[in-house]
Amino acid sequence: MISKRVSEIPFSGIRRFFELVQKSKDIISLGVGEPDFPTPEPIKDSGIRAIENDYTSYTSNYGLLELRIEIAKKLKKKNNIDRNPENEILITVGVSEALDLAVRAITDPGDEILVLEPCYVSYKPSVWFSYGNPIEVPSTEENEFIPQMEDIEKRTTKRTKAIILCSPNNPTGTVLRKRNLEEIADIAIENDLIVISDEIYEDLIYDNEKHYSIGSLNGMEDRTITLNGFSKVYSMTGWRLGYATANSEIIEAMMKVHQYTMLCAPSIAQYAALDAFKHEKYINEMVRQYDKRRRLLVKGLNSIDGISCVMPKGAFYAFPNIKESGLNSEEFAERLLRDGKVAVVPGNTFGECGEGYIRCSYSVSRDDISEALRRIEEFMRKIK
Amino acid sequence: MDIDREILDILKDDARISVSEMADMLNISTDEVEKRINSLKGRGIIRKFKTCIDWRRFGVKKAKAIIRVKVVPQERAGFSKIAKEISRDPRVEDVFVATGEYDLILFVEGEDIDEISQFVTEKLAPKKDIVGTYTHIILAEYKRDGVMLFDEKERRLKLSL
Repeated sequence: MISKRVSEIPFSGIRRFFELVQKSKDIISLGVGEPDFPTPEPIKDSGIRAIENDYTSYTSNYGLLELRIEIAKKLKKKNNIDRNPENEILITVGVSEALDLAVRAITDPGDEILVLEPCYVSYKPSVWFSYGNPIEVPSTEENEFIPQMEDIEKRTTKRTKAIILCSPNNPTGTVLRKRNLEEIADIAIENDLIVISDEIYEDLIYDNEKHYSIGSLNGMEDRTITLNGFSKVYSMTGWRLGYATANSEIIEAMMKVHQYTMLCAPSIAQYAALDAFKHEKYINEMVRQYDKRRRLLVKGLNSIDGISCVMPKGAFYAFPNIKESGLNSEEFAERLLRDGKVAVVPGNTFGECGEGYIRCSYSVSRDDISEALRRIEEFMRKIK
Repeated sequence: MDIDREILDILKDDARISVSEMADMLNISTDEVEKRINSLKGRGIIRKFKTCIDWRRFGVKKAKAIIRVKVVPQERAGFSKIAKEISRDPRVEDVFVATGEYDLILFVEGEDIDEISQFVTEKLAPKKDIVGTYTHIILAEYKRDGVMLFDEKERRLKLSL
């Protein structure tokens, strides 16, 4: 009954674990992948006003022009990317849809798309759904999970069409520096590749690191699809609002798919987000809080015998090494859930090179981080 | 980053946080955290470490009231004199000088309504500087000192990628 293609694609590896977590009681979850701050009040108010004023009809397929204009201004100011709001910006149902559209717009059957791992779980399935071949490019803890050029070059072939990258990264928290991006850009230009750059965590960045958009680099203008959205930075995950920007040829192709599948992003969410960029003070406050929790979590993890953790520079995840436990990621996560009452995400969920690691979110209260650390320490003592 | 400010923000939310946790969060030594807290105490910036208690849940009933007090028109210093006088009464939790028709706003706590009423009639009324009061008996508490007194369900997924 089900198509061969869809049957062949596995469910996200941790579905069973997912169900186990949902059923568990009295656990502390460091498995959350969304902010623990509410949507800022002014954005909520704009959403409520949109409903009251009956701004509840379809919008343009591209999304509200007013919002695209705001996004264009923000791209110019913050990302050094110059785009025409008329036909170079597409508002989508979260970055998830934007990613799917980007891949569908550029992938022919058999095309190879390089996926820099560890990475978010939907990149590879998006490629499979488009009958493309995702090619994994692993990275290592020794290199702070920064993809190495030779690893990318080694896997680049005549069939390679694009590279998907994410910085700040989920799950590792790695932030690619300008130099790293320039190297990736060089490869893209030399091999005529498109870069799909997922920048959803762009503002969640610490230690004076700076976010750069690869699309702003010389020669990348016509070969970068920049993806972003309101979910993580404005705590709007459930509103489902993202956007993509690229040259008009690519955006129009993406719009074609979007038009027939989604028609438009939710109008209420679009109106709510209209003034979002004016509320940066909320972001600064959130970043301040995340920063403190990041240190608490990572220093705490590093003080536990058998666990070591690179200090992440962005997003709200830490990606500690648990290899000394003698367990693989999934065993570790399952036993920690059962015996230690802490939920984390096994690292191999994000690619094979994530094996031996777990993802811990610090998008939880300080109390929960302290208690989780206490439990993890006790768990590690017991399994020794 | 102003470290003292960060310390105050953390302590405002949790006075019992350990020095070592604070040191981790702020990327400074435990010695420095202690030194700074002592200095903040010494300078009278940290006045006291307290606990936010839901007495009703504990089974102890208390009567609480907000009392607005109108004082004979006088200069600032005059307000200060009467505000301090009232502050010394242990039944009084908070004393504010404010704008509006009334000059002082008090939060008063007692065993029962009688005690509140006694406070108003015996303590406030006889003062010749006080020309009027307006008492609001508190019926229910939802949030105090920034702390919610009701439980809310976690709506986020326990696991999301």
